[in-house]
Amino acid sequence: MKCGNVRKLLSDHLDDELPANVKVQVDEHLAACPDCANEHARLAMLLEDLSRMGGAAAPWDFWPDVRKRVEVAALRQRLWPRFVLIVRRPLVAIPAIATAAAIAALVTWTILPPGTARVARTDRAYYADYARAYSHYRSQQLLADPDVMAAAVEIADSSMQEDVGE
Amino acid sequence: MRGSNWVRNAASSLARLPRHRNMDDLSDEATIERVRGGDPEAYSVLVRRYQDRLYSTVLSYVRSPEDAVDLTQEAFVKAYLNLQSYQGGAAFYTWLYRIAVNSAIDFIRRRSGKQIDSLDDEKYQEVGFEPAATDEHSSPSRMLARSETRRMLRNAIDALSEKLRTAIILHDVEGLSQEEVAEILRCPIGTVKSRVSRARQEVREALADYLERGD
Repeated sequence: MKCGNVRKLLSDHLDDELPANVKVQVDEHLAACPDCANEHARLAMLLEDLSRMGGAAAPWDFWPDVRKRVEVAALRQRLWPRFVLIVRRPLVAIPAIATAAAIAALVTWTILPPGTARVARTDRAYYADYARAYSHYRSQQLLADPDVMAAAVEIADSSMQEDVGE
Repeated sequence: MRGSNWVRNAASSLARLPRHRNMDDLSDEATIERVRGGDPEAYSVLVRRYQDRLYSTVLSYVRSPEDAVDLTQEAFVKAYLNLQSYQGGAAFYTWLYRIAVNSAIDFIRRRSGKQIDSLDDEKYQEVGFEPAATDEHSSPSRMLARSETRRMLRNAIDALSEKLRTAIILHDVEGLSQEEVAEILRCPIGTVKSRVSRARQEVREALADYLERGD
């Protein structure tokens, strides 16, 4: 048996999965071929290292935590399935979402604080009073400005002269 | 009230079941019948029986003890919630293994972009992953060499494709037979054999340089 064929069978040989007659041929080759024998030994060492990687133990308090999670999950399963199954249907979901949005808008509109509502609403009368008061305040500010006063006097003099000239 | 009816039904179901001095002696099927009959505490028998094996398998995938504990607990919860659908065609533990392996694979897929933290041997000793060396001939250099070998093995296994990694973990790391692995993965035994062989070959090639230096 050639080395290439033997190398392909080494994995099954180590698992004791080869037919008896094939195993005999592989054993004879390994006895005669140092390279294949080394490869066989390295593969055996690899399998031994892999087997040592397992065997971890779960923490000592594993079952109490599992029991708590089972109780919660079982309770959730009892409460939710019918609700979820119903709400998932489009003919139920769409009107439900629209209704919920309308209710949310109505609640927001009615429970806003009084000041917030006044500011939000356009109160024409209130705004008109405010605009007049501000305009008077601004005009008074301008009259206190010396440059503005000087310009106003010039304009007034020129208009008086025009009247006199007529 | 519904609560009192449930208690009466559970009590009558329990009365019909055969008495056992020690529930740990019950087979998996008998224990499942007790759980279905309204004795959730009986589930502790199954959990204690398979928690270490399942945890070890999941840990081989996710490499984080905290994540492995969480995923293994979740697998037991899923199994409990779906006990009614368990038909008994396959052995209970292979069904349980399948749930755990699928959970671990899904977790790795979700985490695929994140960095995997290196493992701390002390942390593993705490939760029992790596038993403390009791061999009086274990020198520090030998322990270091073994630790390095394990690290390289883990990296080599992580580099495998999902199918090959699953096959080598279940068969070579956890020691399940090819028939058991085929039942868990729901594939032919020949496929399992082929995947195990290819996985070993790829791991062997990845470790070739290191093993040759050790000769």
